[in-house]
Amino acid sequence: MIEAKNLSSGYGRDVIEIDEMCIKKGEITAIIGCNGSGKTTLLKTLSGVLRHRGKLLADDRNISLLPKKERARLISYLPQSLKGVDMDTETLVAHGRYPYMGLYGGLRESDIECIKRAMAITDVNNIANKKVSAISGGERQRAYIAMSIAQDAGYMLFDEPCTYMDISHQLKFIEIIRKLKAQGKGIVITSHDLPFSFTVSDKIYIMKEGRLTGRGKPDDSGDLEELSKATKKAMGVNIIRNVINSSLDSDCKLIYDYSIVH
Amino acid sequence: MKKFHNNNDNFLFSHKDLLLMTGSILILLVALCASIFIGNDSVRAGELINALFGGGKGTSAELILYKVRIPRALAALFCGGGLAVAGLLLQLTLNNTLASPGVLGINAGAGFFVLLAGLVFPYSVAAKQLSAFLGALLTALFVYGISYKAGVSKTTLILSGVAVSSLFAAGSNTIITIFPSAVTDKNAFSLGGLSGATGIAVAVTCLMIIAGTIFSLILSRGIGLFSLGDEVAAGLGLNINLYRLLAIICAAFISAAAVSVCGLISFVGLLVPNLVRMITKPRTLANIFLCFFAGGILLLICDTLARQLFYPYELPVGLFLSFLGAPFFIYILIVKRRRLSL
Repeated sequence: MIEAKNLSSGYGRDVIEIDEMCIKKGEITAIIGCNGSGKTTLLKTLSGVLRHRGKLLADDRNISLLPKKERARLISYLPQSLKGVDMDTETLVAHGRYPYMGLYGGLRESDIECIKRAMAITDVNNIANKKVSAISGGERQRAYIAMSIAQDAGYMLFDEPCTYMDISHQLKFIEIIRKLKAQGKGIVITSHDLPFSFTVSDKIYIMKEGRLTGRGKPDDSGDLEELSKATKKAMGVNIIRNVINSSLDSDCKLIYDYSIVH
Repeated sequence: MKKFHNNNDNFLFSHKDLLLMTGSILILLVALCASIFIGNDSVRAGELINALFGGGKGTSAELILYKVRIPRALAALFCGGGLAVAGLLLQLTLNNTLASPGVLGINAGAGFFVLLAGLVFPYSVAAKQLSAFLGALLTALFVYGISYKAGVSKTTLILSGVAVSSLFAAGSNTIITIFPSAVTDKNAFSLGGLSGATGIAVAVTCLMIIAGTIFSLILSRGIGLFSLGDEVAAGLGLNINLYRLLAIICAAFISAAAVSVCGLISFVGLLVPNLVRMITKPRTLANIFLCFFAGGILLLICDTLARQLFYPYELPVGLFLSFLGAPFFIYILIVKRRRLSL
């Protein structure tokens, strides 16, 4: 479990101030909010990439005291902006094994297995030998996600993972993170896409101006009503659960379980 | 060697890398022999070979071989190789294809400090080497500091280098004009040449470059992550500030060693890493080896040509490199402009 209490961080001055937050393994957590609300800063802080003040523990270990490689074996972080690097996809994915490698020596059998699994789960085998700089934005995103999976951390943090994805790639991404969740990984995503976030997540945190203004489970048995109110307050829109209209053709399937209403 | 998925490599060297390295070593040996045994002195190659295997003690052949040819060839090999490795380190850690010790002003900074040391301690090799290292390191950190302050874009880094380079070049020229005795061969120093490469200075330079290259090999795995961007690299557990600083220090150390013997040789650090990265996979360890070999080959061949082509005149090797390097620089600017965001 990643546990944060009275957490603050930023770039020179504090940008976010978090009273309490908890990320569990086997759960998908979404952090939503408008642009500039502090989602990225929070994710960087939780991953240990950004320095912080306050309590931040991962599996009862103080993140700021962990050696960087050890921290990367515990928590992976994939930023929003990903470079179209001049290397093939397979090599990129192999970089995910860096936290497990020493100063010298090649990939071990276990590393290669991990890389193969990550490439299979993200379905990037067909672009394994293509340069990352030459593939589409959605494929690039998947290649980096494969690298992140190869990192084999217990907690996986993705910043706006669907930015460059069309709807079919988004659905593929949902499939991937649900598989990871089933493997017991703790997944955190940031997004300003509300229907997507509410559909995929087990827990939602709503951010506004660097603070958490709402939290809960996005289902009817949980705190949907409170979450909807908090969303309205933070982002100016309501979110409702879709009701399948019986007059629709039976083949029709809504892509997301939730919709935005003004 | 374990097979890495579809490709036959183990994330350190691909088969192509191993082939290229074997080929480079063979060419390097040929270039080294050519540099040692081809010359316009009165002695013939046969006499030099005889002297190499212990014959002709006390002859002029032995004197030329051990006092002139071998030190000069070793200086060309190690300075060329070292500058190429330094260029590669800077290009990877600063994520900038145009970075090199020459372009960033590191060579100019080292050169200026060598001249200063030459004024104060004219006969001390150690003072010159130490001074060159200090100059190179200060310049590298200064240039990085300026571009960091102005916002680390690829263009600001290069422009900062150009400005600092001009400043130190002006300083060096002032010293040479006022104190001509500060340097043995003004042209060889300013344009880059190996005519002054003799004795203990070459030995110290070679050792420094070997040490710097070994250190860069130790850093290579982490350095390879810089191409993914700072945030991704940090997420993978790389201490980016530490690795960047160590790589800059390493590049400065190698450049300083080279400049103190061969003067302000430009373009090796720009030309060779780009060529190597164009034809190989991004395997940093393999790239360091290949850069070293290719840099050594380039400087050995250019130096041999510089000695031979216009005999009895000897051109500074830097001139040859400029003839090769300048068009290549223009090629990068035109062909890779979009990728470099220039």
